[in-house]
Amino acid sequence: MTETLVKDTYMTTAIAGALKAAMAEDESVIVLGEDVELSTIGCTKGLVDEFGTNRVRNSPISEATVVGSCVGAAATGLRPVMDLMFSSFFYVALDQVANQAARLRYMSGGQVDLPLVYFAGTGPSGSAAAQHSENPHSLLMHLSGIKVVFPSSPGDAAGLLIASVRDPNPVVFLLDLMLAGSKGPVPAEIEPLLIGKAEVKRSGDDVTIVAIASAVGAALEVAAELEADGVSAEVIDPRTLTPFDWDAVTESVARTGRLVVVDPARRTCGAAGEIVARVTESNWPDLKSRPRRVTWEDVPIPFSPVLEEAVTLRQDQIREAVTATVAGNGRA
Amino acid sequence: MATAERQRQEVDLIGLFARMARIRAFERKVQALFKRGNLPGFVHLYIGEEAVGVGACSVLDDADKITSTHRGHGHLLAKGADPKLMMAELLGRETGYCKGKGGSMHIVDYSLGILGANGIVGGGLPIATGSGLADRVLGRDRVTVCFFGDGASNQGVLHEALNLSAIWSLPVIFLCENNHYTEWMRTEDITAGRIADRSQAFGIPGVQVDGNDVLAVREAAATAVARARAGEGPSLIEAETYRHHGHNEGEEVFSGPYRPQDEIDDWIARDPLVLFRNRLVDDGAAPEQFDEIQEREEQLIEEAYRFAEESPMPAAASALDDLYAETE
Amino acid sequence: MEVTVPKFGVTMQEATLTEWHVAEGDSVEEGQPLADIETDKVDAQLEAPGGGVVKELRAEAGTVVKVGAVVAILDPA
Repeated sequence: MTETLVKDTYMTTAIAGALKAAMAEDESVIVLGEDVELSTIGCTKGLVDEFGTNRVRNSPISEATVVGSCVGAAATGLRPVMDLMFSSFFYVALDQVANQAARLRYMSGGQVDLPLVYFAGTGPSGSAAAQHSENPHSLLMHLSGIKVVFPSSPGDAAGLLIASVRDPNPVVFLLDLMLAGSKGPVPAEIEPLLIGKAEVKRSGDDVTIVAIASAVGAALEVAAELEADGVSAEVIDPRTLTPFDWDAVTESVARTGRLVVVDPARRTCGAAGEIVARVTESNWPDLKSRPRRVTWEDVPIPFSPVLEEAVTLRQDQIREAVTATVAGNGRA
Repeated sequence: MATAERQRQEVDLIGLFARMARIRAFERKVQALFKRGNLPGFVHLYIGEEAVGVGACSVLDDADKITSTHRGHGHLLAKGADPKLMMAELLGRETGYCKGKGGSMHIVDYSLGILGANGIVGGGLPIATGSGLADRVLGRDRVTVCFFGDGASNQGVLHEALNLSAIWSLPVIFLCENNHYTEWMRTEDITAGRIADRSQAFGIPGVQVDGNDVLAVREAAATAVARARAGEGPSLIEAETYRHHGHNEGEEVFSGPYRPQDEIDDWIARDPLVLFRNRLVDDGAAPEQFDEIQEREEQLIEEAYRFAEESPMPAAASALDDLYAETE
Repeated sequence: MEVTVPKFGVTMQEATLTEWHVAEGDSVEEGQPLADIETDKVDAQLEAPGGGVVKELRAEAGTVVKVGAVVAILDPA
């Protein structure tokens, strides 16, 4: 990151800045989606004024067709970025994502590049209820054929956005809505970050905590608290889920011997399960205790704040899991 | 017309006004609660569109069904939903229609044929089609009104739902509330042709009505319902109306004004409650009763709020209930 | 009467209460701006939910407050 001018910036503003830079450097980049001109969430704000309506287009509520249009456009010369608003709407367009975007290159034996980005706000945002609170990253990871980027900070988001647009593959870029209003340092000149590279957000020796998106902040808070109890926790932010930086995690667990995965998603068949399975396979001799996952309950996200809190991640759960893993002795 | 007949008509007409007044009072209360930060989540208000929901539901029986949208409070109240249980749901209480699990966009009351509000634009179109299919297969004399918005008219499922309902002659009334704005976009900028004309591709009737005239909506709905009950299949109605408020409450601070003020003023001047009241008064109805009705409905809503406010939050453990039905 | 922080838009989880426009003991009317609040997208104002007298201010100017937090108490008129 160049240090020339680093400013504390809102996540949404940082993303808008990165998109602007990406559009300025490459005329083939276009932006599509509902209300991308007005941009009530803020990630495409100002783009239509800068680049005009040929390249920044409001689209009707027709997710399947607009998602699929991005496939066709990407295959024939454009680099489309589509704002789906809420990640739950991927489900409306699932055929075009799963059967088309994630398949065409492979099925064609590598003839087609699809340099597109599907951007969406994701996750619970406080009583948005079941159809507006999904975190579908596990589902998307499982598809294969599509990259999945899920940053935890404005600086990471900006750098990864530029990288996503430049990537010749289809990329799903997820904006954790719990973090959308958060602030962090972002350089005025945004450098692309490598897709597929994790970052150690906090170094430690006793336990490796892998945390995804908004879980990173919670994990860091728990790590800071447990420092007082003599526990030295390492927190790794994968930043990209596909391709996943397995080396970073296996190297860390080789040192610490302990793993806790914190994933803001349901438990069954979730990313956390994948991470635990792989680390168990690769680091079996290193493990001093049972790996643990902290996840949502296996239910849709309920509306009432009391219920939403009961099924999503809580810091006390993270603390419990880390403490138990550290106390474990190879038999527990 | 004989006095008795006119009296009967008057009672029905006054009832229509009262129902619209109830919706207006409910939404005003929700508006106030949201502004104070007392409501979890977001809400989409129906203020200005009351004539559509009330006009359409006024020709339905309790056993008939509706599917609704994210802007569904009006549809639900028009179909007879209980304001207490709705308010409790909006406040996330255990006593709400969905025990706090659904919230504003997902309220359901199967006992009244309310198959649900829906947070996905166009989400109700296939569901309404299926409801019609069940009636057809089981030979039931029932209809389903599918409320959807101008935004949803661009979802592929509209094409599929119209086609499927047409080929199987399903008893479904597809009622588009065209309030001219899809979220913050002008609908005409992103919609080709006239929505009512989309019926032509499927050989079914499609009409445009003044959505702020409750009797015009009622009449169009009655025609479509009669056709459906006679086994002749679906119809498309496009009701032109306008929402006085934004897409969702709280948006103004960051959306800024995206609709011309004179356009908003013109539509507010055609407030469906005021239009209907004036018409009834012109036809000889006593003017004082309308104020009384509005006050009565406001009181009902105030009681609904008190009920909701005093209701407990759901127990945390209940979050795991209701996922699957029990089996033997 | 509680004055709570409303939610302006989906992404808002918290806001900075930048400045109070009233002090404890002041009389206020419904809708009167009580404080300036700043979020990721907008500078907005916190309005009085009803008329009354400001009994207690619970948040300091310049601090971050969460959506739904009670930042002031009014004695209703």
